[in-house]
Amino acid sequence: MMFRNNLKIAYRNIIRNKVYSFINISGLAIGIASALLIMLWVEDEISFDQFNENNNKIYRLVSDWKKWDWNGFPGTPEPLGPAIKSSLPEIDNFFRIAEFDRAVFKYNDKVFYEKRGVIVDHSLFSIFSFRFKSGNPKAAFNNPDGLVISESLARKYFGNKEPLGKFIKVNDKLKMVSGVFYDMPSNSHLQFDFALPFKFISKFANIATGWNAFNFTTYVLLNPDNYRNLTKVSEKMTNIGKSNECPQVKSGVIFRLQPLSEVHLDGSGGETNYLVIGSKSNVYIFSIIAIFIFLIACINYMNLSTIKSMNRAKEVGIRKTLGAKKKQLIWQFLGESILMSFIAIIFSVIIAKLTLPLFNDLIGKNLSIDFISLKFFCKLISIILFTGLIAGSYPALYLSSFNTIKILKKELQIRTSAVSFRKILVIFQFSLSIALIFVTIIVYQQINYSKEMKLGYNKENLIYIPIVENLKNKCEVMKNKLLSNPLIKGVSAHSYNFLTSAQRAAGFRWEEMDESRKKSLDLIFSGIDYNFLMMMNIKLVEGRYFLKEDSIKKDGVFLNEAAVKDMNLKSPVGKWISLGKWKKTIIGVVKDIHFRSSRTNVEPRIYYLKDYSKNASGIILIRINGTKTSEAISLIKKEWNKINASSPFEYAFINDSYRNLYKAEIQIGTIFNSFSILAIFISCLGLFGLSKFSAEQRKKEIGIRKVLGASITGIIQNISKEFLILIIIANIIALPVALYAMKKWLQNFAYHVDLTIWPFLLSGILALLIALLTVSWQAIKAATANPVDSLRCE
Amino acid sequence: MIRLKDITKYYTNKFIKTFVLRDINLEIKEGEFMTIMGPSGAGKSTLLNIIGMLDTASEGEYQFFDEPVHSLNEKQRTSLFHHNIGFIFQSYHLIDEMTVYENIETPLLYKKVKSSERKALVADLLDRFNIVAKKDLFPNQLSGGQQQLAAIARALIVKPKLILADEPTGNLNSKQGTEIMELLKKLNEEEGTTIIQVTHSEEKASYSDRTINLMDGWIEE
Repeated sequence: MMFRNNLKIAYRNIIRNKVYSFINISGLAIGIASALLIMLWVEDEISFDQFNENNNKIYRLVSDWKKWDWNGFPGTPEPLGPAIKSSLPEIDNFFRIAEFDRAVFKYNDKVFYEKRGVIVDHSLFSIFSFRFKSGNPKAAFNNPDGLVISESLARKYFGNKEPLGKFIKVNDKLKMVSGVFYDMPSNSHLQFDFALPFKFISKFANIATGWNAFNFTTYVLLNPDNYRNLTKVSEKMTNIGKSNECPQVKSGVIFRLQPLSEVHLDGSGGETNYLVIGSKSNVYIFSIIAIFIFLIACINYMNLSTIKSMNRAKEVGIRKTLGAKKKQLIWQFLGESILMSFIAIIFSVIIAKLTLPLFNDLIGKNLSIDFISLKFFCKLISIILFTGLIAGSYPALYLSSFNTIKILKKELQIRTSAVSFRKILVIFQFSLSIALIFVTIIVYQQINYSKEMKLGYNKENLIYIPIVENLKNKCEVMKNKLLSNPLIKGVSAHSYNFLTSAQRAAGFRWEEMDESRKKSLDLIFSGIDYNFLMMMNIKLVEGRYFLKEDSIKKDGVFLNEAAVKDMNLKSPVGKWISLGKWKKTIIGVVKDIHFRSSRTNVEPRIYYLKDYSKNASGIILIRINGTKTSEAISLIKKEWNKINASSPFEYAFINDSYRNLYKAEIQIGTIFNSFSILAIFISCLGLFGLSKFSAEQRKKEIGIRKVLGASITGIIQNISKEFLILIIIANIIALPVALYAMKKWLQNFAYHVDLTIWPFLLSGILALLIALLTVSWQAIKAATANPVDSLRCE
Repeated sequence: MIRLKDITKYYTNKFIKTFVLRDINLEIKEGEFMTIMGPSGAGKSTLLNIIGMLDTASEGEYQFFDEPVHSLNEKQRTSLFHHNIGFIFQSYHLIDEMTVYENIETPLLYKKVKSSERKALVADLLDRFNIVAKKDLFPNQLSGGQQQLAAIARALIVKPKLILADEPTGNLNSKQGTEIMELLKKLNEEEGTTIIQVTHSEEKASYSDRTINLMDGWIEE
């Protein structure tokens, strides 16, 4: 009964104080909606791979190499898996996996690029909980021309027809569908659409195998009965590498077992087409943002309820004289805030539902909220109670503790302690908002810095196309055709897309090599057409550029400065360098070039001449006339279509791809941006409420001041000052903390912006301006009111 | 019923004691209708609040029936208060967000009275005070006299033995004032409810059996 009565009063209060209720409910609703969405994302991130039945027994093998800052590099040699399985009882099973480059699939008139392909051992399907829909894994991977595809890929090409046994062209080679697997759950870190048998890898992929090539990722299934500690198992594996003369292991690589649960959030291995990599720090950062926004919304509620308590004070006094106990009053007010949060959560669910597509865009996922699940329902109930209690506890305790006589005699003043507590809350709120603004600015600065960084080559008007299908043998034709047109300024080639990957090898020797040198030389390989360095405008330090004749002699390499420095080589030109049987003369040294993102330092690199006349691979780079982009592209397309029969034309600008390297940062930037706008909006809602109250409360005072001759601007200043001081204090608190956090973040980048005074000033002034705008609205209203009205109402 | 012995009330502010009540000795018998008079600031309301247990004396003893109020703890005092005392205020102090009916019902809710019983009690009082038609209105829709009627009805709903009225007619015009005073007189005579009122007005005081005068915190006999 009491409850119904209180509910009724609460409802009437909400209706009566429309502005306050609106501020409270909308602030809470936005806050909770943001928190709901972010937590949805966080939950998804940490739920990865848990669907696997062997979840706790699966490990990924990673390599650590102190010398080269390899920390959890997911590459391992191809023979490692079989070797450890046969000699270590701890290893129950293993599989190796490698990326299969994007391929053209052709079935009848259906032609598409398929990006997510792997070369993998069949044991994947017994280690992970991926199931076959038709066929059986062992047999399916036993045929060199067999192709295993996902259910959705099968539907794409074969519709409702039985896919098993169908023939389909992959890069113009006929393959037979030997198995179909169910689509992987979206929270699996392994994601691919088609798979080829690892057993026959040499038949269809040009990837170096053997103990010296760390080109494959190995997963193992451990037998929990046969080992006690993981480090021991890792040591045994490393020893096996050593006894097999693996050069990298001999010079310091250590194999390590990484639990499956850590794989998804481990970004150190870089991206491949079959991996879905998240970011642990993003999970933390986003959780913190969610909590921040939620707190900011709760603070609004606390503050506004406490100041509204002036209007409720009388009610409290009367209730006390009517026999209300303190406990009953506390529950009444807590009940009110729970009701408020209940209303807010209804709106927040609606907001979350409506903005989910937008949020999905932002984070690049396809999450959904299961509105009718018990779990979701329980979550909502706990949010309602939690918010109600957090936001309502202070007002409830504060209100219920009023002194009855003083209230009824209208002597009650808001106690000074309450004033300062409220101020502290406002300062806290704005500190969070200012910190978010500051972070946003720095993230954007860094992204811009990275985008604009001097790379050492000219990336403007540079298009690249993949060397696929017939183009593999007709690069020269393509080149000559293109160069005959004035739209094209230059054509060259590189053996792979240097923006997204790097091929490396270790174990080089060279002339005048210090024999006592312990660490092996690890170089990134760049197989180039002879004019690559010139066309890319890469500056020479020493020696001469490649000439066309060099391609015929097939001799000569270039080193970058980092390599020369690492080799400690004086006057390198004319000296030889070798890797096994491969031996070349150094004919020049070039500047260090930033081919990859600003996160990493420039690594030692070697440029060698690659034959592009036949069986080529990689990309063709085309410098076009920047003023006639579309004509140039259609020209390239025309030539492409003349050469390639089945592959759809595709191209990309180096500039765009370069920007793509910062996708993650740009994403974080946008998310920070969106949520810091929300945070400052909610904070300002609260500030608006507070200033409105302050103006109302001081109506009489302002009236008297005006009668006594105060100017309007004077009064506005007077009211605004009270709040602006709080914002200034919030600035002072927020900025050092944010500064510290951003310094840490920037350390992720080998090349980063210097922190200047501007972001500080900007975020501080921005917050101050927004706050000023919010407060002055009420201040102006109060100051311009007719004093006769405000004095009469008493 | 009430025995006050040497009740003194003072406030300490920066080491200066300000006395509001000094050595009040007073006995009030059950069924009495008493008036406390005196100029503003004489301590009338403070005395009333102490009797009503909303405030405590700084010194002295207060016996309510057999209970030594001065030595009871907060909880015991509240319970004593709940069962015996109803308050009426100059400015009515109805809860603005509640209808007349709900206002009158509220004390019963705090006493955890059953729903059916509550309905009967409230209906009875509405009927007696002739405000049945107003039961669903909010306080700001009523005249001052009607508001005070509702407030008195609310005070009476728990059947208190003692009613404390702090200038109950102070905000009313003379006709309404007279009606309220007659109602209080009737309560006193017909139901034997003890009433203590504070007033400035000789005329209102004339309804009571006995009048004491307060001056600067002292009783002037």
